[in-house]
This record gives sequence, structure tokens and C-alpha cells, in this order.
Amino acid sequence: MARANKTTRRSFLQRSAATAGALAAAPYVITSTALGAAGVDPASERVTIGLIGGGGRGSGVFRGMIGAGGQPIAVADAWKNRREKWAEQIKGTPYADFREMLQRDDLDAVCVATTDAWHVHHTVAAARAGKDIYCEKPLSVCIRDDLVCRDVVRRYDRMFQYGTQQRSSAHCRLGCELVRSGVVGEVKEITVVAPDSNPGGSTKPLPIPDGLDYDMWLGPAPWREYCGQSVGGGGWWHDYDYAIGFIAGWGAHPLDILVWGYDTHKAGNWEIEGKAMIPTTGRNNVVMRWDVDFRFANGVKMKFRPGGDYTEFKGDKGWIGISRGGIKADPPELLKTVLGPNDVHLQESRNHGGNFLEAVKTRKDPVSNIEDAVHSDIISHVSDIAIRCGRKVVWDPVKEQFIGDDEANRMLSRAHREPWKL
Amino acid sequence: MSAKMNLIACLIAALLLGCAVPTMADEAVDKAFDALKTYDWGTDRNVLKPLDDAVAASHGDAAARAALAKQLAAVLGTDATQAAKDYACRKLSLIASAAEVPAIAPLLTDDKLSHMARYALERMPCDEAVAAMRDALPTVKGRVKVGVINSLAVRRDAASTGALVALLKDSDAQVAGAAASALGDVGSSEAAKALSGFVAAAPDSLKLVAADAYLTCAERLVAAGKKLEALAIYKALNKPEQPKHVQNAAKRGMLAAMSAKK
Repeated sequence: MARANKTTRRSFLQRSAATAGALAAAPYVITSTALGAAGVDPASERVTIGLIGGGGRGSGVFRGMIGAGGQPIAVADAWKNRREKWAEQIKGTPYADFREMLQRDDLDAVCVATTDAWHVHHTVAAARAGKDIYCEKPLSVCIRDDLVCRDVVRRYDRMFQYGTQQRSSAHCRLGCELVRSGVVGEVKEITVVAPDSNPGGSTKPLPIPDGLDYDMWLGPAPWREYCGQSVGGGGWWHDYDYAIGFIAGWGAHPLDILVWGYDTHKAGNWEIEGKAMIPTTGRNNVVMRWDVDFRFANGVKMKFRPGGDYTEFKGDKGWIGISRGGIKADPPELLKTVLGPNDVHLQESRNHGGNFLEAVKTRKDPVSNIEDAVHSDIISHVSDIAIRCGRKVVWDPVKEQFIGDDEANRMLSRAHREPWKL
Repeated sequence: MSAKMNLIACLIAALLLGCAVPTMADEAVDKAFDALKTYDWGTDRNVLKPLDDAVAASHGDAAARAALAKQLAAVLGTDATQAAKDYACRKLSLIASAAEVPAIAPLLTDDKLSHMARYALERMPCDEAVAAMRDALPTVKGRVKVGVINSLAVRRDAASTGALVALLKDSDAQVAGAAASALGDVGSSEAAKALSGFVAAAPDSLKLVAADAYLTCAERLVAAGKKLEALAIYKALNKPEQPKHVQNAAKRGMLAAMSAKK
């Protein structure tokens, strides 16, 4: 890709290539292919990528994108050791402040893998800087942030890939194509299951670790004394200030399959009732053991529960169940249905990172686009809000607000800690 | 008279007099308010659970809601911990009304609690909540000022336009940028006029902020049926001095504006 100054980028890559031999042992470092080897795009045609959030998940996704042909040039992280380690590996530049990284003209796209409270902020900042975005799930900590994110991504026509990589699995695509093609008949009932959140989390104040910019790590989230929440994903996944728990964090996967297979936002208003347990000891304070029932205006019912990873569509001709690990149906013959040219065929992707890089080049939406990301994240949020309200709420998926419910609508947004804004 | 008869007589008297009879739930809430006085991060949150439950249960009961909000707001004026006031603001964000604004507003100028004050005020639908943030604007500085501007932006407060326009010239680039962005969110003709000048004069560090604010403003104007004003913005941004992605956004905006129904 060559949006920016090719000469500058070529010079950068030539400098980088000089060190390629020393880095050959690592699969995600720049190799001779950076300058164009057989079957590989020359670097000037490759997508340059930066990482925002170089923890375990971010590193894994970034490696995948590099493996798919992305050209890594920069890493931003509030942790000094993480950004410097990554920068050394890719012979790129470390940034303590992601905003500085986004100013680079030679950067095409970013991978966002920070805390959930940061996701939309990083995505929106990247879009405003003209970068494309691969964003880890879940999308945000409140619905307003989702909607702003969608607006800004579309305003700048950015390519956005949501980190719901099941869409790059053939069996998930097949299942959703079968459902959308009417193989189970008219859908009557849907079941969505996702792994549960965890209690725990230390509340004991600790010294801020050397090399951590805690203020930057917190970002838009409320301030509180440091107590280890930044150490590892498990340190914040279940803390309401940084996430809403696995009802979204893991729920994003089976809910994404739901919206890939069924248009919940076209099913009329949603009546939602839910209950759950919220831990009252430790720092973790998100919903657990949730039990949420949806009834769409078109009569379709949906149950959302904790458990494994599973989405089931039940119609008047049978059901199809999809998980990361496989697909099943009753009757089993449903899975042998051969779809014709007039049936529904969804976008095919075999590599989630690669599909994103291809979108950056072709300017055609990748398989997990922003609209579907917003739809599935909204389902997590309205579930969480219904639980916290402790009563039935009614969601209008067209106006994207609760109907006649000022109290529930208050929960659609959260003020961001200064100076952060969307 | 037996104790049982005494209790029944008291209950009947209370009912006749229209008095609320204390219940176990009321006692639990009172106890929780007592616990809130000394609550700090790390305290077992179970002590506050009756308050969580009472807030949720007050749906549709205006009197109960007002009473709870009043008690929560009262905590803000005490020497309770930051954690306790943080908790009170979070709950007030759900149930507070104009009556609680005077108790929340002073926190806007407190570096440690300004965010939580906005957390409450930003969610409160009453005009008084926005007015409190608008009124605080001249009295706050630096990051706190940026935060207040940002919340006024979320509320799209047109009455702040004059103050925001003045802040476009603030020496603090973050303040000026936040003001520009907020004007974009306000999205009025007056805001557009101010942003027109800012786009041309903004320092390099704020060029993208200015362009984005102007684009946002145009979208708001289209939604308000002011297509011609929006088209003028898109035309102004579709210039070579703007980055490609801004020019392209302007082109797309132009097409969208022309095809808009209003």
C-alpha cells in the first residue's frame, strides 16, 4: 500500500531489511519478503500496520496479521517494556502515546487490542487520522460509544475488521448461510451461550509498576488507586470500569454468529428481561450467571445464558447449532443441504487478519464489519442494562434507544475521564 | 394490652396518620447509608448492596427515588472518602433530578471528583445538569476544563456556543481542540460559522480536530434539514490542503447531503 510517501517507506524498509537476517528465527519479523519475494507483494504494496496494545491478545493478533502479509512498523503501549520489546522485534518504533503513532503518514492500519474501555477511543482516533482498523472485541463499554464509533468509521470510509474470528471459519459461515437460506425454516427460537465472567480481583492498593503509564492505561476509565488491574487480561476483564464482563467479552463471539445468521435489528422491538449475580467482594463487579430472555416483536424468542460458546437457530424444519469448535443440526441432514445460486452466500474468509489486509487494499468491507460489530455489542449491553434495571425493558433497534424508559436510557452512555473524548 | 395488640395499634395509627412504616428494607438502606460514610475502595461492597437494590427498585416510585437521591447527594458535601463520593455519583447518575444538581455541581471543580460529577450530570436529562456544567466552565482549567467541555459536547449544549467559540483561541491546545470538537457536536449554524474560521486558522496540531469537528457539524446540519449550510462545509473541506481522507469524507458527505430527504 502506498498512501504515503513511497520513497520514505522504501527507505525505511531497506534499513529494516538490513537486520532481517538477525531476526530470521522469529516468524513475525521482517524478512527478505519485505522487499518482494516470489509470491509475496513487495513491501511498497503491502499494508503497513501498527499495534495499539501489545499484551497477549494484541501480540497474537498482530503476529497473525504479519503472517498474513502485514508490514509492522510501530507499536504503542502504556507499558514501556511491551512496546520496546515489540519495537525491537520488528525494528519499528515504540510509542508511549498512540496519538503520536497515528500521525505517521506511512502507517496504513492499526490493530487495537487494549482494554475494552479504550477500544472505541483508539478506533475513532485511528479513523480520524485516516487509518484502517482491526479492533479486538468487544467493541465498547456503552452503547453511545458504539454508535459514535460506527459514525466515525463510516464518515471516513475506513476499513474496520472486528476481532470475531469465527467468521473466518468455514463451518460458521456455512451454518449462517444455511439459516439465512431458510434451511431450518422460519426461525422461531434462538439460544446463545457464552463463557461466564469471574469473581475476584484484588482491591489492595499497590505501587504502580515501573514502566507503566497508569494514567494512559486508565485512559477514559474512572480513576482509582492502582491495585494490579493492568496485569494481564484477567486483571480487568471483569471490572465494570474497563469492560462489562464476558456477557460482552466472550459473548461477542456467539452473538456475532447470531447477527451473521439472523437480522435481530430487523425483528422489531425487543422486550428484554434478565437477572444475574454481581459479585460484592473483590474488585470484579460485572454480571455473572446471567439469564436473559429476549422476545422480538416478530415473535422470535431468544435465550442468552452463560456456558460454552454456542449459537442455535431453531425453526419449524429443525435447528442448527454453531460453535467455534463445530456445527450440528437436527435433523443432521440439514447440514448436507447444497445451496444454490439464489441462496444466501456470505463473504468467505479463511484468515481473519488476511481478510482485513485484503480489505485495506481493495477498499471493500472485510467479513466482520462495523455495523455487525455494533449490532452484537448492543445485544450485550441491553442484556446488561436489563439485568441492572431488574425489570423488563424494551429496545427499539431502529432508533437505538429504550422506549419510554428514561432510567434505562441513562445507561446508554458513560462520561469519559478527562481529557478523553470521542 | 399485649405487645401484639400494641404493635397492631401502632400500625393502625401510623396508617391513619399517613406515616410510612419502617420496613426491614428501609432499615437495611439506612444501615447502608451509614456504611457509605466510611466506605473506601477495598471495603466489601456487600455493605452497599441495599442501596444498589433500592435504586433499582425505585423505578416508578418518584417519592422513593427522590428520597434516595437526596440522601446520596448529601454524602457529597461531607468528608466521606473519594470512593464513597464516587459511588454516590454513580448512583445519582441513574436517579438524580434537578434537586440534586446543587450538591453535585461543586465537585466539577475538584480535580479528583470532576469526572464523577460529570458521570452523574452528563446522564441527567434535566436542563439544570447541563447548566451546572456550563456555569462551571469559566472556573475550571486544564484537563478538568477539557472534561467539562467534552460533557457539554455530549449534551450538544447550544447555550454554550458563545463560551466555546471564545475557547477556540485558548492558549491550551487541548482546550481549544475540545471546544472545536464540541462545536461540531452542537452542530448549529452559529457553530458552523465559528468552525469555518477555526479550520482556516487552526495550528497544525489541531488541523484534523478542526476538520473532524466541521464534518460532524455538517452531519448535524443535514439532520436538521440545513442542507445548503452542510454543502458549504463539505465544499470547504474538499480542498487540496486537506488530507485525502478528509477530502473524501467531504465528497461522500456532499453526496449524502444532496440525497437526504429533509
